[in-house]
Amino acid sequence: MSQPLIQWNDEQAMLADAAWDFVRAKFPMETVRRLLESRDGFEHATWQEMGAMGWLGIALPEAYGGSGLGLGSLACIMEAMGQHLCATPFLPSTLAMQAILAAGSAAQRQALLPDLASGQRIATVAFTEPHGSWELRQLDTVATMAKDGYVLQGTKRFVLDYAAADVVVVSAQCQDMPALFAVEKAAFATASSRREIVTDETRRCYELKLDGVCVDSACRLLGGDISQAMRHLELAGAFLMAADLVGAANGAFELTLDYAKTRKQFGHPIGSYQAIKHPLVDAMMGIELGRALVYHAATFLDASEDRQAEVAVRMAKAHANDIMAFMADRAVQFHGGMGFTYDCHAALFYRHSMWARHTYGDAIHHRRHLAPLVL
Amino acid sequence: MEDALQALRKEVAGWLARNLPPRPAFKLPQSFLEVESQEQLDYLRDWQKKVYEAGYLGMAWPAEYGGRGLPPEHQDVVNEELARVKAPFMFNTIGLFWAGPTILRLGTEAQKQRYIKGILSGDDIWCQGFSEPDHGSDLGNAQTRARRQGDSYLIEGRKIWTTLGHFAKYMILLARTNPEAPNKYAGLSFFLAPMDAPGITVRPIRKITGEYGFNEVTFDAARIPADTLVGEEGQGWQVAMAVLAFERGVERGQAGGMVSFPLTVADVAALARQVHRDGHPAIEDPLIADRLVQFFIEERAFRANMARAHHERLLTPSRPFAPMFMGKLYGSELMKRLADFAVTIQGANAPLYLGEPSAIEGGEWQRSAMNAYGATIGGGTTEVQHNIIGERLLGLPKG
Ligand SMILES: Cc1cc2nc3c(=O)[nH]c(=O)nc-3n(C[C@H](O)[C@H](O)[C@H](O)COP(=O)(O)OP(=O)(O)OC[C@H]3O[C@@H](n4cnc5c(N)ncnc54)[C@H](O)[C@@H]3O)c2cc1C
Repeated sequence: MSQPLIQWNDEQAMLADAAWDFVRAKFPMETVRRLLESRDGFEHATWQEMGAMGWLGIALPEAYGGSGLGLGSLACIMEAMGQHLCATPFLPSTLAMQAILAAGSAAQRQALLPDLASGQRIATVAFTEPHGSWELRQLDTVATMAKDGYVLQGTKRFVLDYAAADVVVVSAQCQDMPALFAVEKAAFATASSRREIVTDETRRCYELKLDGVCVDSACRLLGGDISQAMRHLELAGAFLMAADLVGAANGAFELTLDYAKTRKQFGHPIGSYQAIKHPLVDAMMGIELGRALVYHAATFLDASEDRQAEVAVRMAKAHANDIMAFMADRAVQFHGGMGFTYDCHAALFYRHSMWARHTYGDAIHHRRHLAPLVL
Repeated sequence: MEDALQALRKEVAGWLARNLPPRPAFKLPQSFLEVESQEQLDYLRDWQKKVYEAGYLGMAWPAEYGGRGLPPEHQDVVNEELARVKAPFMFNTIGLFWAGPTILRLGTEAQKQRYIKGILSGDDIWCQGFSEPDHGSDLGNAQTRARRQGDSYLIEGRKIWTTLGHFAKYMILLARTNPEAPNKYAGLSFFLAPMDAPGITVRPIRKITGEYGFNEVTFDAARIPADTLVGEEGQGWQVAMAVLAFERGVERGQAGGMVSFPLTVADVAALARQVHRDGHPAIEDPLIADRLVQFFIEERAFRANMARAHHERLLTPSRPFAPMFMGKLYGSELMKRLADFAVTIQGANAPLYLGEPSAIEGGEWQRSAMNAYGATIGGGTTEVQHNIIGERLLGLPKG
């Protein structure tokens, strides 16, 4: 492996600085708490600002209104958003754009991507199904050819920000082949959707029942190898969530470190006791290693999406899951009775962890895939 | 510079292809902590000398003392090439990695002239006299006495666990010059003690592995010259802290080369292909395979984390020194768990040890697992490292 393990240029560094500043300014905990109650879970004005700064098109070529920096550069945005539990449709919209980019024809890309890159429109992905597999090619939803299009039959789960979305990228089995459709949400007028109740109240997940919904044949993405595109989406999702998790783990860490310095028992700050101090050092080390793996994966992903990149992404997600599980657990425990309350911020991180760790593959899933790749 | 480094890499690779010594018939130690016999020492010393004479050691150390005065990136390139071909480690570790950089930073001109060259050539072997029978983790409480008498100091007391002490020409010695100082740290001074001074006795101590390799050093009114003092009397603690920063890799300035033969997860995976469990290669057991995958993840994360130290903008703003601080703690624990796992996968044959003809790979993994504690106990224990990192890096209050 002659390639450097980590590369990060000045442009990326500037983006990172801007991302941290923005998220810090826009997402104090009061805002995060206030948004828990809202319908969409995010503020549309914030989304517009992100679009105006060009963040939504970072991983798109310039021809489609992007800046062509590559998927890896999104690590810092996802990490910053994770640390501050900041919910926007960034993840679903990015994945939808990646799907259109990887699988759409030139005309489809040109029609859909510029408005998504600018933030004018929002997209989401409907991939996951009740069977719960993270293998995107495992599909119970079917698309059958009809007169002017396709009839979709099946149920989708964890469709993020469905209520706010304008475009939905749906996966379905079509004549024994996986297929992707980029559908205007208006076409789903007859589909029934409901918000799912998930642990993480900062997110908005929906179940979507496609009971014979008809979509125009022009919706089918016809530009590339669909299996390849789905593999890319699995890795992109895992990569983005790894960055989110490492950020969130650090958010929980900073919160708990602060408490360990201020909360006093037996006449001393609890952080002076080794039963608190040593696990916090272990958590810090795990988070540092997680950050290293995320930026390592970013480096390899942008170099070329080969086997090495797959290894790096799966390693990053597996590790990020484990360190988040550890840190979220310690965050609750080290806040004592306060940690058991709904109002303690540790609870927000803990509940986020349950969602994020199980989105785009848990640690066991990724290690199972890694075994044949590294052994 | 990029071009110069590229050229250097090629040059070193060529040199190594011609000069890398064959593995000897006798067992080589894994690290300087395990050098036991004269033949091991001679082999390792010859290698260090050869590398130094080729101009590949101490490249960033000042030329006037025996280095080459080049930017540190040159030595980095050489180190990578040495690691790539699994070249033998630099056995004079205490001199090259800890004492040398400390002398260069805090020593007098005369001390730099006298000691640096011999450290690089391997002619002068160094040992470290910090720990005492009653004061290990609590190093600041060291009680070995140093009394000024004219042009010398008289040393009285005992040091213990002294690695390479039986071969060493010099010792970095922490001793108490003023027992009445306002606090325990202020009474300490730091010396570059000659080991052949009359009154010094070195007694080998047998290790957990059954071998020898570290020592007890007794000072019975041993007389050492006063100009071996580093800094002023009473500044010993500050000098010792500088040594520990180099020792733990928190600071850079080491001469170069590696401190051990690296143990890699790939080595253990190779073992898992050879060893059988329940009639199948161990690696086919999914539980073994998953543990190996976890080790691969940790190893990659550890290497990426060290690589990150070169990218200022990727360091965590609230704790930019984290990768440096955690290297020794995390690395030593990881290696210990890995070596222990290599024993575990051997199943029913795991107890077979060195000298037993049927032992798997000669019982070397068992020895490695035991020796791995050298790094989790030596140089500040894992527990004390947790305290230091919690307090200095994270700002948690002292217990
Ligand atoms: C292979 C090897 C080579 C060595 N080589 C050298 C050498 O060349 N020169 C040299 O000077 N020394 C050397 N040492 C000594 C080493 O630095 C000491 O052993 C070490 O600092 C621990 O001191 P101790 O042995 O007195 O243990 P102790 O300090 O008595 O520790 C006993 C246990 O208590 C724990 N403990 C102590 N204080 C605390 C605390 N505040 N909080 C929590 N836990 C605590 C320790 O972690 C340990 O688990 C070597 C040691 C080994 C194993």
